[in-house]
Amino acid sequence: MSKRSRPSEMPSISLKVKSQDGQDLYFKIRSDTKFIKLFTSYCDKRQLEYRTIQFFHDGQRILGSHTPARLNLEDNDEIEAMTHALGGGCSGI
Amino acid sequence: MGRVKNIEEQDAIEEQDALQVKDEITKKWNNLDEDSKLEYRREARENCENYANLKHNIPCKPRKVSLDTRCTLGRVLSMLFYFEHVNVEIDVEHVSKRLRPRICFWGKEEVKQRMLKLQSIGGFDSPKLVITQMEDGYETASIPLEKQCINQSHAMPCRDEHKPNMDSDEATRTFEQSLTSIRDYMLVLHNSVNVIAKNMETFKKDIVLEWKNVIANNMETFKNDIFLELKNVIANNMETFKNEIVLELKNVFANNTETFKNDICLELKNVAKREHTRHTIDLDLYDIVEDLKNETMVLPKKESTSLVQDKMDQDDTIHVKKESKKESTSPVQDKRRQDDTSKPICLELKNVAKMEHSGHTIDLNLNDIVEELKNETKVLPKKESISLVQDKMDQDDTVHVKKESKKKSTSPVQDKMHQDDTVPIKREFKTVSPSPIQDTMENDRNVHMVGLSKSIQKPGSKTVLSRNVDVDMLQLTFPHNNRITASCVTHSAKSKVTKSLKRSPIVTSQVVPNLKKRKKIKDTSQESGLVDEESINEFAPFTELEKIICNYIFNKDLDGSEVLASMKYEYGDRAAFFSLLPSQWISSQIINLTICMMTLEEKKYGELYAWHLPTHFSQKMIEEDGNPTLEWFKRTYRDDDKYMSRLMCCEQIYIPMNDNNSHWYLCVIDFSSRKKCIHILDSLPSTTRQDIRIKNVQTVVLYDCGMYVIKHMHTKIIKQNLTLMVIYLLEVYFTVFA
Repeated sequence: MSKRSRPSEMPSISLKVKSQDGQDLYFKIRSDTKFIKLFTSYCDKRQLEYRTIQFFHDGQRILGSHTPARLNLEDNDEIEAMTHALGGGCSGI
Repeated sequence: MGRVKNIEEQDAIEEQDALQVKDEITKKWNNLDEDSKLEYRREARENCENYANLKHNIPCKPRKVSLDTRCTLGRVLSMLFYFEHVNVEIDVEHVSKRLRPRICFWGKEEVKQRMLKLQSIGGFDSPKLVITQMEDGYETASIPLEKQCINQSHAMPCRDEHKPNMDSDEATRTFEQSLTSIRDYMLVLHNSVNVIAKNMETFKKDIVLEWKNVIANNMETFKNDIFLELKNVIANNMETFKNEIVLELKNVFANNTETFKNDICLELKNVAKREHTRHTIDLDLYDIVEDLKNETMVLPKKESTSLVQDKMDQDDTIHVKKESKKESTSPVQDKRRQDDTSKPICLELKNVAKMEHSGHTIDLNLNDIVEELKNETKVLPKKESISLVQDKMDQDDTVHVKKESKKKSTSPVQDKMHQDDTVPIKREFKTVSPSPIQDTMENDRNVHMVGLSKSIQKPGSKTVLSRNVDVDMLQLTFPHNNRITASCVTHSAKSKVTKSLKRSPIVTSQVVPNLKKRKKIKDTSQESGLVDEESINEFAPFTELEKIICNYIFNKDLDGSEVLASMKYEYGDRAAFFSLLPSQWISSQIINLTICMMTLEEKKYGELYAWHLPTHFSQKMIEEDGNPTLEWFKRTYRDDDKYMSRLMCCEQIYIPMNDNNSHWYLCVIDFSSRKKCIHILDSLPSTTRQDIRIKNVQTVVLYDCGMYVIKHMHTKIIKQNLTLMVIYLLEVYFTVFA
């Protein structure tokens, strides 16, 4: 799990991405792979725009540049996908 | 959490102790006789009666302070947690003096933080903090003013035989109160000292800058003054100095000629005495001859005019001598020199040369010759010495003549070379001998004798020039650098001030300055943020630095996904910051960042008294219709004190809510005010969606403060209170939403 170990030794973990509508998708990702890969593939599968989605793990936001090793993610951990909420003027109502 | 564990452990230990005591007592009881049993029973009955009387007399004697928090919840709980420690069967000592359960169990640090917070906020309704000492901490309750008398009476320890040290308790309580007040004063003093220290720094900077400027300005004038003075002094002293030098040189010259002559004579004598062999005589004679030559420079012209003839004669005589005396070449040269000096000497030399056939006799004769030479050289007038140059020229001529005539000698070339070399060397030797200063002065005089004043003024002017150059360099480098640094300092200081003070009128959205302001306050000054916020002028123009920052943040050419703000749990990229531009909808990232900031601000007080929940909390709650598991909530928002901490410290909960991905409004759950209520802060209340919004609030809040809160409290509060708590909460919410 540590960053120092070689890439070949990095274990791959499976992560569950949970969307707001309750549909789950499972991904397998190596610990030193950046999340951007996972996110883009998730958005492709769900036909979403990557810019409008944000991902959380235990209330902490995950950026595309992070890696599972950095966030100490373990096997079968959950990631929540949420849309960026917007709010503005009266034109919305 | 750790504290809760500790409490539980202590509870368990106490229970075990109590059981042991009970067992022991029962054993004792069984072993006793019936008479003694009767006696004990009687005593027990008496104790019971006494206790009943006491209880009747003192209807309310809580050992703990009555907890009157600002919410009625606390009051209810304090009523409920009223606890009596009287047990007939067990010794009083074994009963825990600590109360269970405790609503608020604060340590000294927490009390301090609380005081700080109350001070910073200004107090919700000017509560008075009553503190009583407990076993290992303080139990506090903020009591409204009108209830203070009652509560103090409540707080008084019961007048009972179980508590003989009542007075000391009271004393400790008052002492603690005074301590806290002293702490408050100390805090105020500390703040003022900080302010003074800040001002001192700025003051120092100002003084240093002013001094630097003053020095830089005065430097040039000061230098010019010094140079002018130096010039005048040099000019005045120049002439007298010159005169002195000339006089000294004259004296030295006059004195040295005689001494030099004497020296030469002595040397000649010594040499002559030493020389016994002819070979050595030759060499020494050369030296003598050179000395003689130098002395002959002094010879008058008249004699030099008649040199040629003499030489011719001398040549003749030399030839004669050579023919006759092939013994040595040196006497011949000697004779030649002597020709230059004077005729009689030459004649004598001739005679001597003629007389000398053996080397042994030469010594004596040479001595005679030397003596004669001495006398002659002494006779030489000074006037001739003044006209040295001409003499030298003549001498050179004569030397050349001699060269021509002397080609027969053994080493004429070397001889001449020696002569040429030795003349200046001896001169130098002369000059060197008196003193080095005079030497140099003399050199200067020799070189610049004619234009002395000029030559001295030249180095003076040179030095002036060089110093001027230095001055220019100084102006270019040192003060310039000073100015640069000073300008930098002032600029940075200004920018610091203006950064926090000035706002842009360009940005129409008020959210931008607000957010920025908060951030900057957080960055620059961690404390006294409220005061800073008041003193900020929102509509002052941007400074250069702020313009640069704004340009960097709001530049659309740059990467939109670049992360600009990074908090612990939230990040803000450039695309999110674009939502701060005018007439843009605010992104949830910005709100989350603000919430993280507020949480951090709150964490300075140790506990989170006001909870700020992120936007995805309400989002999740609404979209999943309040169904997320409790574990999930605890993990997401509670662990690590991310956004929540212990509920009993909580006074307000801020929940930003989003309506249909188009509108933000805020839900505030307020425990702190007398009326428990939920505020919905909506900038754009809409008639059509109002019901939906309130319903959303209900779903969010009811889940939050219903299930989760109760569940959360369940970990801390013993079971029997749970039902009442539920009832209480339901009451609260029904009053709110009815």
